Parts: sequence; C-alpha cells; structure tokens
Amino acid sequence: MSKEIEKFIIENKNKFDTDEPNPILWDKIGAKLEEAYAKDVKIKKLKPWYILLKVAAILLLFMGIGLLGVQYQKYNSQQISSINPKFAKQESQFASIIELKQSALKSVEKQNPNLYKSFEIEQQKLEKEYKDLKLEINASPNQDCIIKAMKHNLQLQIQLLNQQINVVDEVQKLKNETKDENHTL
Amino acid sequence: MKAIYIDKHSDLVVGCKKGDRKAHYDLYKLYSKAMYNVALRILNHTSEAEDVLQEAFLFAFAKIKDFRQETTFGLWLKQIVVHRSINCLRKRKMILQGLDTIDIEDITDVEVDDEEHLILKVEEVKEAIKLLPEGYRVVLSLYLIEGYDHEEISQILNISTGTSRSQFLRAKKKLIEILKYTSREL
Repeated sequence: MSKEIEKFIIENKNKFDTDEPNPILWDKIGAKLEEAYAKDVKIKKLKPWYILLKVAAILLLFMGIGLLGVQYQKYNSQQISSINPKFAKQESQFASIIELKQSALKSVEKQNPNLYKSFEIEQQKLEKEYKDLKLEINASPNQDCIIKAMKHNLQLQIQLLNQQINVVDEVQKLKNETKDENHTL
Repeated sequence: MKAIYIDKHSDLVVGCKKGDRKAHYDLYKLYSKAMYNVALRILNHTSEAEDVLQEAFLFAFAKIKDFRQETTFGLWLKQIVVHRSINCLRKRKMILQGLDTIDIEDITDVEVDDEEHLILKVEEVKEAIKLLPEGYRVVLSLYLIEGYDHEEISQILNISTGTSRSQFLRAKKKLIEILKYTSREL
C-alpha cells in the first residue's frame, strides 16, 4: 500500500493540478504591470530634463561666480569714486595715457626684445604696487594717504614710460648716426 | 554536469524582456494554473495561494531582465512560487509539525495491511492530502508531486535531510490511514 500510493501519486501528478485561479487575478497583475510600465516611461521621459537641469545648474553656477567677480570689481571702483570722486576721474585719465604710451613702446618689442623685456619688468613692478594699494584702501584708516600714493604711483608709471620712450629714441638716434657715419665714410 | 534546458517558451521570455504586454499575458496563461496548484498544495488556502501567485508573477516579470535563461522559465517561476508559499506559511506562524523532534529510527517504511488494497482516485487522494497536518502535507507534496528530492526539500524548509525523510514517511502513513478511513465511510 505504501509503495502503491507513492507510485500512484507520482504517475498521476499532473492530474492533481485541477484547481483554477480566480480569473480576475490577471486583471490585477495586468493593472500592476501597467502601473510599473507607466512609472518606467515617466522616468525615461524625465531623463533628458534631468540632464538639461544639470547643465542649467552648472551654467548658473558659473554665471554666478562671474557676476560676483564683476560685482567685486565694481565695488572696488565704486569705493574709490565714493572716497574720492576727483581721483576716480583722474585714475581713468591716467589709465588711458598709460595705455597709449605702452602701445607706443610695443613697437620696440620686435626690434629689441631684450630691451622691451627689461622695460616690461619695470612697468610690472609699479603695476603690482598699484594693485596692492587698491586692495589696501578698503581696510585702511587713512584712505586719503593711500589715494595720494596711488596717484603718485600712476605718475611714476607715466614718468617711467616717458623715460623708456626717451631711451628708445636715443637708441634709434644712435643707430641712425652710426648708419650716417658709415654712409659718409 | 549541468543539464541543458530547452525552453519552449523562450520567445515569450524575450518578448517580456522587451516589455511586450501580450507575451506577459501568454506566459501567465501558460503557467498560472500549474503554479496556482503548487501554491495551493503548500498553503491549502485559496486566497493566500492567489496572493502568492500574483506576487510571484509580478516579481518574475519585474526581474525577467535578470533571468539568464539557464533554466526554463517554468522551473524558475516554480522556485519563486514555492519559496513565497513557504514564506507565507511561516508568516502564518503555523509551525511545521514538530519537524526537528522526530527520530528517524522509529519510523520504518513497512508495508502495513498488505491485503487491503484501495482503489485510488486522484480527487480522493487530493482531498486526503488536504487533511494532513501542515508539515506532513508540505513535505509529501514537495516530494511526490513537485518532484523535489530530500536534499532540495531540506534546503527549502531549512531542515535536515533526515527530518525531511522521516517527515515524508510519517506523512505517507497518515495519508494511507486517512484514505482507509474515508473509504470505509463510503
């Protein structure tokens, strides 16, 4: 009997599957699948937006940093114009003169690069000093004194450029003279 | 040696991976009945078996992208159904009938009352299995109908193979008793 029943069940095991699940079960499963699918699509649709948003955020960040820089510069110049509006005007005048003279000197660069380089080093020293003064002014208790120093620095820059131009002229003259002498000889 | 399974329905599995709704439905139609019966044999409870069936299908469909088709979809799904059914049983807090306390030696597979032969009918045997205690029913169903060996059953139920064996013998003995009793009733 014991072996008999074992054999009987094994041989007929497929016949034991007689129960049917409730037919509405598929509707439930189908609805859940639909739900999951809709979610999936939503995420996929959102993806390009996420990337766009990321790019926009990064751009905004850079723009923010840039704006901050501009603001900082503005703030600095505003500081000067609010401390001493007269000097602020002079500063821009000086700046344009310096620029003009620097561009005049630039022509030497090709003819005499070594000389130009030494000139540039001298100029940069003064420029650095000026920048330092500009940074110092906000914290300084005696702003007038610093403005005076700044003004002096700008004047020095112009003087230096003038001297450099003179040197260039002298060198040119010398060159021409030697040429003439060679010519006459 | 690893067996190579030829899955008749691998096209449907591929369809499911692509998100084809028809393929989902076809797979459900093919396997739902068999899987429902598997769950029902373990749980002996229709609504719980339906819940397990629904969860198992949804789980399988969600994970079908990871299914590498090393075995057939049917076997894979059956594994899911069996495990979920057992978990459901455990949640029900029905402790499997003193599974660990049974001594193997006190049970021997002897032929009792050999003269008596019952005319077996599937429906009657099925009803008799339903009357078995929880632990007996699960082990007997897994062994004889689902075709797992004692090694596999011991892993599924987290018991020793010896316990699985003795539990099976006891179940069989009890089943015969029930069948004899019910046939006498008729």
